[in-house]
Amino acid sequence: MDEFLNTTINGLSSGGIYALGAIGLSLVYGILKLVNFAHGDFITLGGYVAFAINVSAGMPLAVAFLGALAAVAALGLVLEFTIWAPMRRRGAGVMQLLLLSIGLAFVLRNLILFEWGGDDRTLDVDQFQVWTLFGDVTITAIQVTVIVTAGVVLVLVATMLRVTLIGKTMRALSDSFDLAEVSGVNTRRVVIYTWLLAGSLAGLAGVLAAIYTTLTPNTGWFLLLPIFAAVVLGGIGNAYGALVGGITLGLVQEWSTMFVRPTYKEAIGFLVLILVLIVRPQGIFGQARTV
Amino acid sequence: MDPLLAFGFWAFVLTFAGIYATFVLGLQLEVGDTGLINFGHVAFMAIGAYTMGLLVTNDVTIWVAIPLAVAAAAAGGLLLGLPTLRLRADYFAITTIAAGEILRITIQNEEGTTGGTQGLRSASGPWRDANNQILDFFEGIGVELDRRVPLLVIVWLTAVLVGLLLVYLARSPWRRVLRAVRENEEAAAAAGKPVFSYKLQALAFGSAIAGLAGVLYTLFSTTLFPENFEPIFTFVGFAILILGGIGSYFGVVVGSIVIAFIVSGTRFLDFPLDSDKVAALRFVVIGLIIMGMMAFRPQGLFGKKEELYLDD
Repeated sequence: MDEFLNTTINGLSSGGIYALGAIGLSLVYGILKLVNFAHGDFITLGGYVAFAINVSAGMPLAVAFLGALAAVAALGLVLEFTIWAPMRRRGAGVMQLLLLSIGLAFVLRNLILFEWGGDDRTLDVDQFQVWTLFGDVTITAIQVTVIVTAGVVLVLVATMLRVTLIGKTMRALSDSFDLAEVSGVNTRRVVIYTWLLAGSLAGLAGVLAAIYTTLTPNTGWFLLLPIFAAVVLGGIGNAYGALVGGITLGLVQEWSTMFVRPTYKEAIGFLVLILVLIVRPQGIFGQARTV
Repeated sequence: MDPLLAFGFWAFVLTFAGIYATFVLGLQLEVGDTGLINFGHVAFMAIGAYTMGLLVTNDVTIWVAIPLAVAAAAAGGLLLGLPTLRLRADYFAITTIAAGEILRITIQNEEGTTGGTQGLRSASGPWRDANNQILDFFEGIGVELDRRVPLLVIVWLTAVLVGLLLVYLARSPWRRVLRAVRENEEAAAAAGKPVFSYKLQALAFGSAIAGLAGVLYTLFSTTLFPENFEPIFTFVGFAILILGGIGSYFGVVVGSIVIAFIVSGTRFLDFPLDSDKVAALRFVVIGLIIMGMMAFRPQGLFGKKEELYLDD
């Protein structure tokens, strides 16, 4: 039982990070038909901006959070205006945009490597504070930070998507871009908000990943495939699905360590991805239509 | 750099390029001819390399090990294709990369068999002996060869033979059906072609070629490590494919040489920067090549625009 609770705490921590990454990836995929392989490197950039603010400049962690969010959201917007919008105007296909995003991922990841080097980095957080809840169940200060931050933001985003007009329009666009456009939705505005949301959530995921593990130029790239798995699990384009998919995936990966070697837990995540795509490609929450 | 060292260096770069050329020819058959975006191609190279390595280190002669390694890679292609080839193109792409990672993580974890992160050692031992015999033979007839030359010749001979086989097949009814599948799956099916079976054949054949590249890689490197088979290897393959041109076999050869030059050939240039930073810049250049080609010339240097199908 204690082992189950401990792995659950681990799973909620990594699952929260996956969920933050997955919401943006899924919305961009659904709304812009862009399978963004550079999304992982957005996450990495968030981590390094936080590192620059928190460690290099010695400012508080809260400032680092805000700086990372703003920087990655700005990057999302700049890339939309310089690359994605012009490419869409020229009628680029899904695979063409996908391959382009792979090139972009190479560029971002290696510019980060160029700027900050390949060494492991950590943020200025208390690495050693551990509390025993009861029995052998423990939680670290880092896990509390990650779970609480991710939890609060995820609830806010879910509420935003459900209640506000912009949230509803985003979901409508992800459902059917053309239908939303003929219904009079200002799609340009929604696209901008989508990138702001996707970028800031990726930035946040990057800061939390830098707190939870160590930061290298590959941090986001290694997170990308589990995040894809979370997106697929929740149904592509479905933001709630991505949220639940991320947390589910984190839990499944950590629970699996009770039965197989912990070094296999990434493979378990990929196995879930493949099985869902084969058995239920519309995801657990999606409806069978455009698959 | 003195000339002898320089020769060894360029032999290394060109051997690497030749292995990549074979690898990407398999990718070309899948992506260019059939329209299958396979991001897990490196997994089949890993199957070829590790099958070869494990057989050879267990005293199987290389003449038995090579066909078995290629067959194992082809079987892997069939195994992956059966459940996944019905998926949409983007889903298929994500599935293949996930499958490749599962294989790599398994190789990394089963260190009892594969050596894990410590690597699979002395897989190239039998080749070193054979290489010495070849060198001795040439010395016997009065020709002094650098010890890297035989492999360089074998690697490029393989790439050229595979390329010629594909060009020969390009004139066959088989490849005409593949292209029909790529351009309009429904129409091919309506014309009574078993589309799924053709896709499966292309994936198995492409995987076999990747397996062959894996065999060459085993001869080339003294130790096999799981991290040699990370997804980045496939993506560099895609950079070659995109630069040379999707659909062009000749483009693969040119692309391999250019990209191998950027990745390892630029080491002789003296940059006033740390080696880490130079390594990063090399991959920035590769990323920019992919982006620029996709934005401005998606058919690559030698591809034909009317033959390019990237719209899913």
